[in-house]
Amino acid sequence: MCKFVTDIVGYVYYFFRMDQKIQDFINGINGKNAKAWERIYVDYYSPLCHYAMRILNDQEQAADLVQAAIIKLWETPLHFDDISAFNVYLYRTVNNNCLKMIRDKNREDQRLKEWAFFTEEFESESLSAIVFEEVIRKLRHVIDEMPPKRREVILMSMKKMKNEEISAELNISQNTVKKHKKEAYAVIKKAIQSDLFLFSIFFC
Amino acid sequence: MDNLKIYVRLSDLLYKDMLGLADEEEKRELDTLLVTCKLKGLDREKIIARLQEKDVFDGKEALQRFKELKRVGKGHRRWIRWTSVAASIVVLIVVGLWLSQEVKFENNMVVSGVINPGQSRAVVTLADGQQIILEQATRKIEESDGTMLHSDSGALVYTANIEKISSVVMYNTVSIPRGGEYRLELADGTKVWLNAETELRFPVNFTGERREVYLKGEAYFQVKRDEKHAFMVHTSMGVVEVLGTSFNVRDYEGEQEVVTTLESGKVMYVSEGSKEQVILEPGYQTLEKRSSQVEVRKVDPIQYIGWREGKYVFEDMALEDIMQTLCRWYDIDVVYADPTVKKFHFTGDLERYESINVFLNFIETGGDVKFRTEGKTIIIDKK
Repeated sequence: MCKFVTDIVGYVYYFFRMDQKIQDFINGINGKNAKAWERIYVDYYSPLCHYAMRILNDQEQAADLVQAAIIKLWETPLHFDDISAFNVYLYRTVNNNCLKMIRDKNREDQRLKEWAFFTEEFESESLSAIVFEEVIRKLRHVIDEMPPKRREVILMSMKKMKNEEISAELNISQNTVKKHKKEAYAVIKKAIQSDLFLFSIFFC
Repeated sequence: MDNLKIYVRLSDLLYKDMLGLADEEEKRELDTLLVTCKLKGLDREKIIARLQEKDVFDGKEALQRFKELKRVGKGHRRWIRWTSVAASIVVLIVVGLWLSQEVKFENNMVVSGVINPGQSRAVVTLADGQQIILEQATRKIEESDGTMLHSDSGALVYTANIEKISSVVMYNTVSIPRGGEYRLELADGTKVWLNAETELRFPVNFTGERREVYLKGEAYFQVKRDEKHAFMVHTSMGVVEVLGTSFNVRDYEGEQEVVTTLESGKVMYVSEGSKEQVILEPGYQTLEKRSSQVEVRKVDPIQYIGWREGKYVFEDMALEDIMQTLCRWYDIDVVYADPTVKKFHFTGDLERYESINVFLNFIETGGDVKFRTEGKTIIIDKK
């Protein structure tokens, strides 16, 4: 019985506290809200460009194509139920538009042969690229807010460097390294909870 | 690419793992997914390196250009307020339902994923760009030319205002999300059933010589007979032209083919590419794929039209194709643990308004496949 009650409390708690931001964002996307569009540019623009760049191999074209895709999203009535549907839509659109662009440009192009025919292997390759960009997007989201030194500490500890190595490298005391880590992880854990709403674990 | 949601999950896990915050279970899940999805090139060093260097793509600059282009924030406000309220209500209802379901599961101690069918859901975009979410509830909207839009229990009806008919053609668009459906009655009395993941663009009022509409996805049309004004459905590859009949058109972006099935009357299909013209008799179907001739074949219309009456009929169909249809209606994703099952053929009926589980059980009993549901993802393996 205790578990049962706390589970419900857990759901409500998670829903209202953790998921509210994401839900607001999705509502903003569905409602074509200017604030949500700012977040698309801050959060998604660069990863999508890098992703398009892998297929097109041209920086300028990649940037133009992503811009066009975001404008299209603004102009098209689309309704996303959740954040993952939205993510999937963005990458899929960019992927498809890249392929179209290549196809239009040159039918004999070697890259067309590489990308346009979805053998299982190539498909998983383009999906690896999505995961790559998504991980960077999520990491950026938490570390971009940090003061520069703390950022470096976290990046180094992600490289599995030990505290004493970091302290030597950055010329700061080990205690300062620990302090940076502690404060950084307090922020990161919060972000993770809201990001990984789907995997929320219940108390009790 | 239907299993993309798996990758959303994968990136969540890898992200957590890179920060050193994944627990043992999550690490195992991550490793399994990396192997089963055959992902390569996810070098952690490379990810960190990218985070350390300056980004070549500047989101702020792009946002600036977008703002100049769209003048964001002017004139969009009013309906934004409205939709966010509506959306929050929808979210609350969904969460409410979800909570009550969870409670039920807890009581019975059964943890199984029941995946429910789609519902009446649509977004209508008016001529001025305003968008309105339609659900079951009753709503009345007036277009600027005086045409009345009346939405009630899953249907949207257009009624022209005879006194105010203007000569300017105004278009509305109705979009149906995955897991949705909606009915539509156009100003000329033509009835249209729109299936999931579909978009129809049409004039609010038919004033020209021809009645022309634009379709992406799948719809069933019952065209009001009017011999002076031909009714035309534009698809990605060709045009279906009729005077007054019932027929189904399917043109999903991912399927690369346009299929027109005639139930009664007469239609003409004109291919845009080859200019080929085909006249269809009832019970026949045209099929056009990219860069090939228009194919005509005799079919059992129920297999193609049944969805409108709440029935999916699959006859000797590849599992892959069956699942593609189900994905749209149940809004699910499918992962094939063993790709060979994609080509297995099955025959069976599915009640469209039932949960998917009944149908899956049926297939599982009679075939060499097994299904596992994880949230909204169905994993299919060989027995």
